[in-house]
Amino acid sequence: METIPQDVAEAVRVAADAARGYPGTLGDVRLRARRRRTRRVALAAAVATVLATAGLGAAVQRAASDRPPVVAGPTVEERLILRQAIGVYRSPGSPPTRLGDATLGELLPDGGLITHRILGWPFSDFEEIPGGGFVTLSAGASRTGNELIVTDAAGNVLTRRDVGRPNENVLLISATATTAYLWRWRDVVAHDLATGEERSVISMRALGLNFGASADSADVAGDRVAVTRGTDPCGIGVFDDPSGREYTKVRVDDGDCERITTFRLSPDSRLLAVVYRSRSTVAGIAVIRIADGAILARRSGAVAEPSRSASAPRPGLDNPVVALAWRDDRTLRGVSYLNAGADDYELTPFTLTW
Amino acid sequence: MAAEAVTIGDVTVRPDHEGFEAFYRANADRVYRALAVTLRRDDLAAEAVAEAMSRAYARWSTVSRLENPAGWVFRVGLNWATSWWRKVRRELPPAEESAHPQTRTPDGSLAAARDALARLPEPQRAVITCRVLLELSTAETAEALRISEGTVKSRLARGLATLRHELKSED
Repeated sequence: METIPQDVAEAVRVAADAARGYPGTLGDVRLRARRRRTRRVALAAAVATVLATAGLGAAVQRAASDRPPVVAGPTVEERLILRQAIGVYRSPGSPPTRLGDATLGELLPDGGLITHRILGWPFSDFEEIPGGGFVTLSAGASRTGNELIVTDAAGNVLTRRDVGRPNENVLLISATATTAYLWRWRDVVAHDLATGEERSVISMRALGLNFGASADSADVAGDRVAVTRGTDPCGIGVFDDPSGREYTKVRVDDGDCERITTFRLSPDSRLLAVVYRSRSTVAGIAVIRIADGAILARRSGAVAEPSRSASAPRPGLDNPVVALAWRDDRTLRGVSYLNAGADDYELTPFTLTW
Repeated sequence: MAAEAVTIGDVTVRPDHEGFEAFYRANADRVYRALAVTLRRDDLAAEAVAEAMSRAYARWSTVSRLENPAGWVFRVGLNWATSWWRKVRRELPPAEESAHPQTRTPDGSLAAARDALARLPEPQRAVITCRVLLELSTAETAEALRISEGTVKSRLARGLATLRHELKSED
């Protein structure tokens, strides 16, 4: 075997060690495998249907719709949706509830846990919208694998539109009742849900980013865009100007912050709710005023605990998640949980006020 | 006794996935680092590992019987990333430093190592990372990358020569 000179091997290891640790989880891998399997099944079913229709002249009947139950969410404040929750979750006053795949959980202000069955599974992203509906970017049956589906609180489909383009990926960053904000190769665009017209909010070049980040690394409210970048994992750049001039940079003023894991602009775009990981806490939370960077509220140690087990979260397998929702400009609701545990979890919501 | 399927959330872990979790824990980070060095894009490397690991998971009963499953994951991830990047690179501005974030400020040795590695063609970087970071032998590297042992040796020799030269000139 050829000998690798020690100094060269050391140089390669130094370069490798400089990279941040692998950010993925085993839950992500399983989810990705399942999505691929589902796509294949859908494709096979589509091919079979075409063949059957061509060969037998049979009419193709749509499968019975799995229309979701009529469950209305709050209409004024933001809704607290349990993203990435896979497993059985408990909330005071509600029976143990299984979440995962197309079944999303919503924690109501009174602590009750309700479910929504989302159309378009497998979806790559979704956003809850006022009034109880959802905007979903489905990776399912459309031609390009990027179908935008808008549903109301009763699960009725209001809009169904293929927003994909050849050889282009797209992410759903945020949505309001009228607009979906999409992250395309070149731009963050505002997509009018009614007409499908799009206008560029800011270009990727102006943001100094390449496509490929996750939807968790950007948020849009109004025309204010906030993004995290790998070069500054504890900072968030806030942009108001389509030219890309950075309005301000907000930082988690925590000496041992390692990285921001997710964040949420307030509906009026003046505040940022930030979830971050540090050496001392898995999920710290800070509410930051964008204008001057002042931290208005902070919570540390929001770590999910299994309700029936003393086992701690398993690194890389049980990924702590914090869901946030703005009640108003002085109140933030949240809940933390593990996203793919073997046990069922007691949801412990919290509220930050300032 | 046959192992029973275990349900975690809505995911059913069948017996044919036994051992995958241990494999994932032992290898995800080091394959990621090897791909990050090879591709010089951490974000793309992370996506590539996720994609390759999901494919390994889907066919674990086969992949687990390979001599070097980590090498298989590396190759699948590298192929996926190369194919993906080939499609989109004309569409995008060149990768900036944000694509390769670091946990610490580049000191002299890190900057020198990165600069030297950047001067290698990707196939040579792939061979060197397989040998150094994944600790594969020449035969295992050839198997992982689906190239001949002779090609592994020649790429390794050229890559090492370039690296040594570049590292010395940095001194």
